Amino acid sequence: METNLNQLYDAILAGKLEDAVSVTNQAIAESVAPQTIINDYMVKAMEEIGARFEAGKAYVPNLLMSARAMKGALDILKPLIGGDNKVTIGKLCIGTVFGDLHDIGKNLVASMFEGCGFEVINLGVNVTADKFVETVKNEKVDILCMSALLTTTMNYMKTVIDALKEAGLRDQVKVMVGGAPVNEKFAMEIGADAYTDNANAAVVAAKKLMGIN
Amino acid sequence: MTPRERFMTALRGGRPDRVPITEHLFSRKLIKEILGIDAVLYDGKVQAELASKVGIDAIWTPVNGFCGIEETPHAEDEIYKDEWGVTYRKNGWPIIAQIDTPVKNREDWEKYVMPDVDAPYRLRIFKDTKSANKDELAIVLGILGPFTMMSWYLMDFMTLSISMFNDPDLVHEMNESVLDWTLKVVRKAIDDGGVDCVQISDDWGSTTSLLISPDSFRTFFIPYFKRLVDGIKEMGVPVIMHNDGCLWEILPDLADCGIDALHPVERAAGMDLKRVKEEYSGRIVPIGNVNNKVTMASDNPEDVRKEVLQCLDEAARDGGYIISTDHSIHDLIPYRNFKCLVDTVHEFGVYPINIDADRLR
Repeated sequence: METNLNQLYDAILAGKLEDAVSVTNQAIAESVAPQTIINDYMVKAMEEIGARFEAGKAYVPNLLMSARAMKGALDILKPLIGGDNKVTIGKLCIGTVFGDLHDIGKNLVASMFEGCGFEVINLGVNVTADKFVETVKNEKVDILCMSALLTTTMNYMKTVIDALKEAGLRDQVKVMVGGAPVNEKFAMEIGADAYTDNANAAVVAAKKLMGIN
Repeated sequence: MTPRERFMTALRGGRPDRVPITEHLFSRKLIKEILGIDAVLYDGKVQAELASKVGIDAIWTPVNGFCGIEETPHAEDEIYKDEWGVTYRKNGWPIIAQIDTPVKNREDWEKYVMPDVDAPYRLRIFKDTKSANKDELAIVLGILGPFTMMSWYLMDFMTLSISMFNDPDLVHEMNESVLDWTLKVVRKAIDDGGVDCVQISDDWGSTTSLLISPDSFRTFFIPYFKRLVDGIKEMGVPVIMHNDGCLWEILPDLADCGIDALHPVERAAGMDLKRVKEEYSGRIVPIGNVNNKVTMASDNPEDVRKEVLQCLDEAARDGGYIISTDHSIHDLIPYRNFKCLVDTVHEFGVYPINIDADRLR
């Protein structure tokens, strides 16, 4: 029987990892093009859960579970995709800035990015400017994302942006910032390219920075 | 009235001689500035002295075993575990963020051993606070609630999310154990004497919404939270809930759980003091609401004065309101601004309250 890929959409929307993986495996066995599976079902499911989150009809655990199911299915498809058919829509690094050890929000954003098709280098917490600069240089990331949960550490975001300028890398990478004490005004003052206040909005903004949609 | 009488009168919804002031966490910088002490651990004596000196009416004193508060001093950046098996890297004060949590799955939980309720140090901070409380301030015993314990300390948020989907019994079993432990420790403190009220810290909201759905709260946390509140009230003391963030969706449930007061009614998360006061009059006493991110960090104390007057005007007129910031006193809040909050309450928070409309503009 032919796989019903709507089941994949449903599994990701409901955050069911095992179901998402099993439907994906079945689809691969039936030679469905990976790009079709990703674009027509997986990305659509993530967009739907994102929209529900924005509307207050889904909560953080729903986003996390959907992103986890999406990632599980994506991991199976990755080895099958080569050449120009890139499996990711962009590459980014993300970290909580030096002096700050909070990572729930940052990890949620990282999971959403992964779930929505970005390749993510998660640098963890307490990340120095040197580490960010080195990653931008060596990994050729498209976007650098920084998080801070403390009013005392958010100023370090400017240190990172200044270090990028000094290393001559500022023009090669977009910078996004977020975290409870951060706001749009602060983001613009320190020279970031975007600020968002939740994980779903972060994905939308990142896609925009990449010129998608 | 003594500070304790003032605080307890307002906490029970009544009208004291003036609006009581409280605050639950002060920055190390401010302690140094006021007392000349470099606070290393969270010390009950220092907190009592500080509270008296800055002119507030209550002292927040956590039980030992309140996750995030160090039991012994650690070097900057040192990695260590507490008695719950939570891993921290020393950074910040007085509450340190965890970097790893002990329970990732059922197997971990089955091997897990709860901390010893009767550990000799269990009430150290509380006892020190009592002995140093010379000015009759109210003593607020601090404990952690079920959601923070489960999403932040025993499990991480991702593990909790997965468990609520895949192994809901695990979340219930862990909640039972934490509830049992917490009630035993509160009992111990109350038997020791001098607990005026208990503050359950349990953060449920982000600045824009709840962290999990209202239904998930109702399924996994509210039953345990209610039993915690009931258990404490049966011991004869009122309950304050510290719960920052945007809580409108769940506020009716919290009122039904029987909390006496809600702290900190976070202005920065859209919690409107007037609306809380009006909609929950006679049920929940609001504590807080002065914005600690913007107003308290302002260069101009006049901003503080205005916001304090607005809070008094909106919530204090008939009693049943306690003022504080909408979270805590962090490094960027200058002492002159906190002093301005206290001075303004001393000047305009005396009953009967009369604030000219002109002053509110």
